[in-house]
Amino acid sequence: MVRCLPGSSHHKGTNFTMKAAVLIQRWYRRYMARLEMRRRYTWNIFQSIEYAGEQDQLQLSSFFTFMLDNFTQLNGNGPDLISQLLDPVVDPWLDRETCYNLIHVPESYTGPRLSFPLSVADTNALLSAFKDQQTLHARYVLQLLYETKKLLKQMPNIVHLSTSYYKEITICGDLHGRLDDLLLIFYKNGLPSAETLYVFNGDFVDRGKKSVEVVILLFAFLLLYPDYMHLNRGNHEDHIMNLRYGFTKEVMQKYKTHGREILQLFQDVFSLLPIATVIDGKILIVHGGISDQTDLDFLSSIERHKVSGINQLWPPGVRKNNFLHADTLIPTTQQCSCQIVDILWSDPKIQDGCSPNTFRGGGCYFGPDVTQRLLLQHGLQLLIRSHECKQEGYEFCHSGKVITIFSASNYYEEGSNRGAYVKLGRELVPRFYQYQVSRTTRKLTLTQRVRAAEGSALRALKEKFDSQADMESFYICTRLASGRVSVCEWALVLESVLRLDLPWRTLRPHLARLAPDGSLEYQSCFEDMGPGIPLPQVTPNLAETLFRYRTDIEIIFNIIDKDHSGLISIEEFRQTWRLFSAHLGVAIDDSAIDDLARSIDFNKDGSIDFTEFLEAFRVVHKLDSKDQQLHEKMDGEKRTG
Amino acid sequence: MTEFTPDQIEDFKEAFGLFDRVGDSQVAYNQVADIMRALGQNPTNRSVNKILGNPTADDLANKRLNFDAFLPMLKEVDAQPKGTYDDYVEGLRVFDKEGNGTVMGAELRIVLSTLGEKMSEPEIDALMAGQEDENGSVHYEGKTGLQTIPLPFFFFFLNFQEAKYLNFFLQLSSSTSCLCKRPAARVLKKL
Repeated sequence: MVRCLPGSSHHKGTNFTMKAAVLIQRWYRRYMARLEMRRRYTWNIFQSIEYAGEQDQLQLSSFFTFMLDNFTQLNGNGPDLISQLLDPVVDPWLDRETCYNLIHVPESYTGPRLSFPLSVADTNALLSAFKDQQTLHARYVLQLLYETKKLLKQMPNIVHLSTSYYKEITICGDLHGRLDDLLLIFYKNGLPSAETLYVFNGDFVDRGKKSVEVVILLFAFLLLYPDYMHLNRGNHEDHIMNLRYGFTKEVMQKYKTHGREILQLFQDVFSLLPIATVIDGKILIVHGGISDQTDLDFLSSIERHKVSGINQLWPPGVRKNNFLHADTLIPTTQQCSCQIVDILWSDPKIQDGCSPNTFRGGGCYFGPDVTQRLLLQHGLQLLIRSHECKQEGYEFCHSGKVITIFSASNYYEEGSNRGAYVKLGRELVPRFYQYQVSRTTRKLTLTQRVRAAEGSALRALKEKFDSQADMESFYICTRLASGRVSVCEWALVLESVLRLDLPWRTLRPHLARLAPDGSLEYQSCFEDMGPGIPLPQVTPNLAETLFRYRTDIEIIFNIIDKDHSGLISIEEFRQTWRLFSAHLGVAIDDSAIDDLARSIDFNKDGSIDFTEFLEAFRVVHKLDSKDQQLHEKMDGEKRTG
Repeated sequence: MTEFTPDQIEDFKEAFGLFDRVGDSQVAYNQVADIMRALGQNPTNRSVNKILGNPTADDLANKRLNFDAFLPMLKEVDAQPKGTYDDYVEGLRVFDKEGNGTVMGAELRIVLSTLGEKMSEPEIDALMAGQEDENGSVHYEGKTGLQTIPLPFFFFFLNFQEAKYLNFFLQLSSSTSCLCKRPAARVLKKL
């Protein structure tokens, strides 16, 4: 049936079809452009939330520095609490008491039984065990770590490799506990061997659910083939980052009896990891990047295990040259620290120069001129680094002089990005190999992927909206009886409260409603949040501050809670909060804290269940437990299906 | 020509910033068409090139544009007729040989890759993903209208509430008057 259209008697012919084609093409391209925009802001959301978290992390460690500097000023129990909070720093170099051989492995244990020195049979056993979701017994974990520590002590800070002995070297980036990606790399590229050399560029743990398995495999291969397997330290190979980003939790969940001991050994091993690798004197591989202060000779000479990756940085983004603390002026420690922080945390930027990395809260942004200068200074031709998620798994910048390589596919969300690894032969020309692990065999279309990622990002963003108290008070200040505010003001509030630099106006349709007159109904932001337990009656200031720093407080709690029972005494809670508020410069009177502590102690037994405390502020991470359930369900399906 | 409100201009500026990959508050010439599309327009590549002053391939890759230079271009494109859902359906109907609400996937592929502003094979594959039935036909128009339109085709038109019947040919020929102009911002808000 042909429609009769006025003014056109002959509507067949190539001119006609061509115009039809152009019309379809226009519409399709428009659709793709909008999809691309959604993809971009989704990416922005994930990245902002991720980096904001890391920034808070560095603030926390500056708090520890503050305590170190000021503990003498605290009354009474101050020093005891400090020594509790900061594990008496045992020099990682020294041998800890490890009696792994006293640990009995029951007959019923069906997992791998490693024998040292390791052989290929052991690593194969580990690979198949982990594929079958088995856990390595604590006794073997401890022994493995003990041996790894012995090996790493013999290594220099900067490891030099040569392609004249080995055919090809494969360099992998961040894995973040993604066992599937590691197994995929080994499958595609081969296991570490004399023909297949590997360099893993840091960030093996945190965020993913299989950090323990990933790092055990890497260390096992390291012990098996110390000449063919090389590991660089990343910014996540650090016990404070692990407390926040999940590695500590994972270890404690999998190893209830020996978790603490295992974590202590991990701490030692991480601090002993080399910080850089150089290939043929031409290619430098570090986890984060460099700065205008980076001095490779200096870095080769320091005692790397003595320097934490993130301590002694105050405030984030500003580099002190001297300690203000009177008689303990140790400029070299500060320098060491700064240099290592730069190596582990910096990101490249497009413009020339070197500026503090305020996004991350540590390290720098380094420009092409900084790269050029360093490469020239040391006769290098290429810098390979990781640390940043890239959609294609890798990215060039600085006119091809810097490569970012990232090996955790689907990092933010299913379908968000590919992983990649890079191979170098004798001519040192990089070749890239990409992959993407997918949970289901069905291939998602681009639309479906963008939509899934977008949904996930917006959910994560809405979780951040919980700090209603902050926003309410702001709005009250900006004169609103009607509950309306302009889109501009709304965007400003969100940006200042959440401290996330995102395209708020573009996101607005997903987050809030517009009133008929074009102004924004800000209450619509908080819909479908779910009711929370009413806050205990405290001064608004305290509640807000507690809320904002809840993650930091959780970490401190976890440190105080030595036996990981989930309970701390009221006195300890009081002291911790007092300390923390002194650091923040917030004036809180003792009776308010006492009232709060008492009201949180729901069962009145003198101890506080931290989970209940968090629940009171609606901060228990709902996604975490849902995620756990989903993964368990899917794992179950994978095994049976 | 409709003027954009300050609110709309703020929206555009923010979206513009999303496409700036370099950090100099500018975008490359070869991104301009896509940004306009992301902001609710749907120009042809040719009309965008005309507005950019017919740049060479080199210009497209290397020259950059800031927001102040971009905004008048956007205004110009906004003034052009955009067309509606019905025009699009009319476009598809051209290839509906039997007039029964389906087009042959194979024919569509050939047309889109050889005529007009040719689409590349990956582009066409993405467009056609999951659309063809067992006979290789694409059902572009359902019995109950919008609801049964195949997914990508449907989503193009999420923003148009009123289906205005327009003369397909008048729409396409350059000498016609503007028939339906929707302010881009309203379209954007329904993203």
